[in-house]
Amino acid sequence: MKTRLIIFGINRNIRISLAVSLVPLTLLSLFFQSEGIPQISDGESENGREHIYGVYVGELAFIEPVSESRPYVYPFTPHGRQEYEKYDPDFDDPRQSDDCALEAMPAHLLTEAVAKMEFLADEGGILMRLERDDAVRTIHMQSKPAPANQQSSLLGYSRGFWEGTALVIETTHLLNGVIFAQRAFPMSGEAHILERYQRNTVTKDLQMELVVYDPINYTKPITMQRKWVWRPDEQIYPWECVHLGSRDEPLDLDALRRQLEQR
Amino acid sequence: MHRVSNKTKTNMAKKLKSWSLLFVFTATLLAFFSPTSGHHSFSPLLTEEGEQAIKIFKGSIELYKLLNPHSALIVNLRNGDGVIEDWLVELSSSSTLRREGWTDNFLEPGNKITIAILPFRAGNRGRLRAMLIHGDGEESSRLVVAYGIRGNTPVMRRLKERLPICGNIQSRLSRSECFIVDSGALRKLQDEFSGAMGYIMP
Repeated sequence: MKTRLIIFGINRNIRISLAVSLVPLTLLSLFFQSEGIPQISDGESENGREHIYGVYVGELAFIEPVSESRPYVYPFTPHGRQEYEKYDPDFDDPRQSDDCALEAMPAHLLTEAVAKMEFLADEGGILMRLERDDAVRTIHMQSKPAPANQQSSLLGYSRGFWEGTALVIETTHLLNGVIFAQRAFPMSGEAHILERYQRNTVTKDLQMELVVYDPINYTKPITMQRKWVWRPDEQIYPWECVHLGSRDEPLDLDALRRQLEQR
Repeated sequence: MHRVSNKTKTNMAKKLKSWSLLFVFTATLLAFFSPTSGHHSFSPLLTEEGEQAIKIFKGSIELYKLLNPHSALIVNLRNGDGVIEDWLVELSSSSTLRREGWTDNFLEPGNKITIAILPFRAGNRGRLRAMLIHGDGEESSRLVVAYGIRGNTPVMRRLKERLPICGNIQSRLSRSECFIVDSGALRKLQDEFSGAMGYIMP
């Protein structure tokens, strides 16, 4: 009632002027908020960067390197080709004998089967939680180099920085292994990986570009891309890995039955 | 110096365009059918001709669990000699299947099945290719297709053209799928595609 009185207490000409100026403003605001029209980016503001936090599900796809032609030809060095030819995923992949063998980087982000992650704020950095293996990557944001005594590991040591609103992560101190799970493309412990996550301001999905630099095995960097769909309705569930038995040995079904019936 | 006329240039451009299109088409086909287009593979055994060996059995489900990294199906199957064999059939991870719409009671112990398995090198263990879950009495059967069929494959397209879907699997993910198969549709499929589960064969 009071509001109405105030509005109607204003001079009629002023009311008309207000109405006339509000119409285009309202239309403009509707235009920029409607779906499909990019909103103005937050630029380099802290708010723009914080928007990266949340749960994302990797788009289901068989990921192959970015290439103008198919099939992609891997730029092997002689050593890389030798490594590729001697690796048989059916025998050499650690999951053949242990379903719960831990996944490595960058395979964690390239696997088709289980691709769910969450970016979280952490004191002095960012955490990337992965559903597979309950793995947690710490992204050090202070741009400090890895400590001198940093050990190599499956997830490596990651440093991050912002390029505008894109999060860029460099990972070093990785172990010898393969780029993709259950495929034979080698990756040496000398490799480093660069990930770049650009958030779509409309859909809030992340576009990932991941580049593997491994001069031991490849003459050129290898670039992969993947879309990570923003899923605020999702969460990272405990992995609770169950080993069904080695594929190298005869199956003990009775033991497996006992194990599974308890779950 | 030999000069090329505009007409010749246009013809050459047209030919180049046709060859480019043919090249792109061939490359796409090669990429699609290349062995690396399979999902993460605990590669099943291959026949002497290099084809995937698919085994077909009839039997029933004993146990079904959604697990990580591989969901498990223990099935009791009748072999060619009529003897019951117990098999472990692996499915995708719980994380993935739940996202696709699979639930803990999507399959039940006691369900009668006809199953196509891609066996691993160790005995009585493999990966699910397809499974027909026989309906009880008048109930329609359900055909679940998975490894080797999922995606926009010829077999998946063939099934989608002929059968209605159960509706509980998220088709937009183009992975596993569930089809409703009544007795008439099953007879038609068997007539059209000979052999045991010929309708899910490459």
